[in-house]
This record gives sequence, C-alpha cells and structure tokens, in this order.
Amino acid sequence: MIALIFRDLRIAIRVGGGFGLSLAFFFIIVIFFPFAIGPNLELLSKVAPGTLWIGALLACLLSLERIFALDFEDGTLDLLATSPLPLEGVVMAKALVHWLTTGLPLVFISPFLGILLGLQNISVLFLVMSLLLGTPALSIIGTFGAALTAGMKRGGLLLSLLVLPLYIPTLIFGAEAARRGIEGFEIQSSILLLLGVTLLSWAILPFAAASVLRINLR
Amino acid sequence: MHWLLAERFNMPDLGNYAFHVLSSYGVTTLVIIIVIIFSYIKYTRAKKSLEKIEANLNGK
Amino acid sequence: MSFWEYANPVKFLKLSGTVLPYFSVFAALMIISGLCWGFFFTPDDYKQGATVKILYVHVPAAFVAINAWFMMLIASIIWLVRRHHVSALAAKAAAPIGVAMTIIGLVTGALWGQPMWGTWWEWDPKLTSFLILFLFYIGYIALWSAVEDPDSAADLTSILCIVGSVFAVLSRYATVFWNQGLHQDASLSVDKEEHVADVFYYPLLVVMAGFVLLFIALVLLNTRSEIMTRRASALVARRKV
Repeated sequence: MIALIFRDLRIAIRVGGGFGLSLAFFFIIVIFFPFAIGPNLELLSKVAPGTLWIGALLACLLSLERIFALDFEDGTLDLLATSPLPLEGVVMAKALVHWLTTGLPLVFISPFLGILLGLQNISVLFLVMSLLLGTPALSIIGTFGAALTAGMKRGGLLLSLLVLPLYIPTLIFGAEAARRGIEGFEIQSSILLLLGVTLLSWAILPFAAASVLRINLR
Repeated sequence: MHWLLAERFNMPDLGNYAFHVLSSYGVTTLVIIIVIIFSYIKYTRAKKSLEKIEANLNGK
Repeated sequence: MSFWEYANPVKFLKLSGTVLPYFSVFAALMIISGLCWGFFFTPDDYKQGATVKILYVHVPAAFVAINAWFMMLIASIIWLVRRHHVSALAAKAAAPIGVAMTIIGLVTGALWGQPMWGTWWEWDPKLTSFLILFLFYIGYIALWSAVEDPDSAADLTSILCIVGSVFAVLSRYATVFWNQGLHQDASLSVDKEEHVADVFYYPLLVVMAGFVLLFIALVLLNTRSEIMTRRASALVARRKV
C-alpha cells in the first residue's frame, strides 16, 4: 500500500499536470470573486470562507477524473484488483494521494488567498483549520464518485452531478466552522461535526468505492 | 338532486389567497397528469414492441 | 407460497396486472374525494386563512417524495442481497415519480410560503433538504441512464442509493445546524398535541392514502414497462446469437 502511494505520488509529480493545475484553478476562482462582487473588502471578508470553500470544492472536482482513468485504461487497475492488497486499500491509497496532491496544497495557499479577500490574522487560522479537516472528506467522496464513473467515456459531467450532492454536509460544516470562527462564535460543535463527516466518509466509503470498482472491472 | 349538490359545492371564499391556493392545486394536478401520461405512453410502447418481437419469434 | 415468489418477473407481471386497476381506481377516488372534502368542506385556519388548503396537496406530495427514496433504498438493498431483477427495476421505476413529487412539494411550498412568510423561497432546513433530495434523485437517474449494461447499472445505482441515503441524512442534519428554520413542525404525528387540528387532519389522511396508492400504482406500471423492455431486448439479443 505504501509502495502504491509512493508510485502514485511519483507519477503525479512527474506528470506535473495534476499538482499545479487544480492549485492554479483554485487561485483563479478565488481571485475572480472580487471581480464579480466588487472591491469592497468588508463585504469580501464576509463571503471569504464560502468563496474559499467553493473554490476548494471545484478544484477537487476538477482532478477527480484522473484518479482512476489512467489506471483503468492501461489495465493497471485489473492488476491491482488481483494483487494481495485488498481493493479497499487501493482506494484508500488513491484517495490519500489525491488529498496530498490537491487538498494539502490548497490548505497551504489558502491563508494567502484569505488575506487577499480581506481576512485578518487570526481568522485566517480558522479557515485553514476547517479546510485541513474538511478536504480529506472531499478526496474520499470524490474517489467514490470516480470509482462509479470509471470506465465511462464521458464521465466528467456525470461525475460532478453525482459527487456534488455528496459534498453538501462537508461544505456546510466546513464553511460554517470557518464562518463562526471568523465572526467570533463558538466553533467546537461545527469543528467536531466536520471531523465527524470526514471520519465517517473515510470509514464507509472505501468499502463502497471498492465494491463499485469491482462491478466496473467485471 | 343536482340543486342539492350545487348548493353544497359552492366556491369557498379564498380571499387574497385565491391565486396561491388554486395554482398549487393546478400545479399538482398538472404534474401528476404529466407523470401518468408519460408512464402510460412508455407502458404501451414497451408492450407493443414486446408483442411484436414475440409474434416474430413465434412466426418463425 | 411466499412473498419472494413475486420476484419472478412473469408472476410479478401477472399479479401486478390484476391489482393495478384496483390501485388506480382507489387512488383516483381517494385523491379526488379527499381534495373535495378539504377544498369545499373545511373551514379556514384562524392563522393561515385559506392557504391552509394548500396543505392537502403539499403534505402528501412531500410525504411520498421522501418515502419514495426510502422505498428505493429498500429495493436496492434487496437487489444487492438477493439479486431479484424486479427489485432493481422497481427502484428505477420509483425515481421519476419521486422527482415529480419533490417538484410538487417545492412548488406548493413556495406558493404557501409567499403569503405566509412573505417570501417565495427561504433557506430553511426543510426546504433546503428538499432541494438536496431533488439533487440526489437527479444524480441517481443520471447514473441509471449512463451505464449501458443493465446489471452493472442496477449494481452501481443501488450502491449510490445506499451511500446517497447516508449523505442525505447527514445533509438533513447539516441544514438544521446551519439554519434553525421557520417551517412548521411535522403536520402529522401520533402525538395529538403536535399535529394539525382534526378538521384538517381527516381529509389530509384521505389524500395521503390516495397519494400513496397513486405512487404504488405508478411504480407497478413503470416496473411492468421496464420488465417488458428488458424482456424485449433479451429476446432480440438471443435471436442475434
């Protein structure tokens, strides 16, 4: 499993595309919000957590299709399915790599984007924390969606249609945690609920994704 | 007999809300009728094509 | 003689063919009589005025919309466990009806909310979760139509339905957390204190029963056409071979 993680990481870094692309996409989306809303910093800082969360969501979505597509095409996935490593483990490795290559970089650049949107020192922290706890859920849910549409010729649009509704709880709790933190309310409950969603997703979705993959590989 | 019915089924006074009440009943009826018609069309089509194929098979 | 016997498509076709007319007639009778009762013979509510009459279509539609998903969930699990094709097809057949009922629920809700809350739409937990339910239905139907092999499609959609149910419930609680709403509590409950007054309650029950019967009748009809389509394509495939 660890070998698989390193292999996928190497591919992701060497091919390059994935790493930078979704990060750049995130950057652009967040920067476009002020153009749409207007340069009013006060207003922008109010919508900042939501903006960054929507940006993270879309950036995640963009890179989902690649999780299984290449391995499905060249038959690697068939090999992985017959290897001693259970398919659930493969799914978790894939989701982890997806998080390391898209989720984590997003978390790292989010403070700078938060400042661009007028967030002040401490409130940036809440945003980073909510993204750090929430993006793993985005990755594993997305991996489930990618497993559902693996092997479909035009899965892209369908993938977003399937995955976005599943993102709703994460989005609500994550953005809520950031918003409450920034506005100075208590955040413990929303942080815990966000963490709960993330852990629940990681607990049940590898099984669902693996069984879906087995169906698609039949 | 019908005068009795007519007296009973007089239009209730809906006041300001006539539009809301009547249009919600209208929308409901419309959507349900659309669903019924679509299901029915699908059913007759499926039945017809199945019968045609079965007739072909038996004919041979 | 057990319930599972009707998992046999031929037997299912026979049985559903016999009971379908009864269900349809009773559904029509109950909906029409219940709505007439509610529309012509109940007083206005002291608070809501005449808009209370919207309740007679709004509540049953919402009820069926939620329980259609529940029925799909059960049918999906039965398909995954016992591999009865009828079950998978029944789940597929229920989805469009669920969508229709969700639309009715949303539209009548908006029509009721405008005079009562002063706005067509409010990001209230109940309304929001209905919108979310709508999205889940759409994803489910889209997946059915995207997969070509019928058995794989049934498997994939069943798993999506189960996972979707978990996340739909999560979303439901997320929306409550996110915005404490202004929607009424449940209109129906065993607790007498809670539910609406008896005058409104009895006609409402009749319409609800009618809607449930209508749902069953439509699911039976759609399942029948799905089975026939499936059989037709199987026959064609066999002849080609």
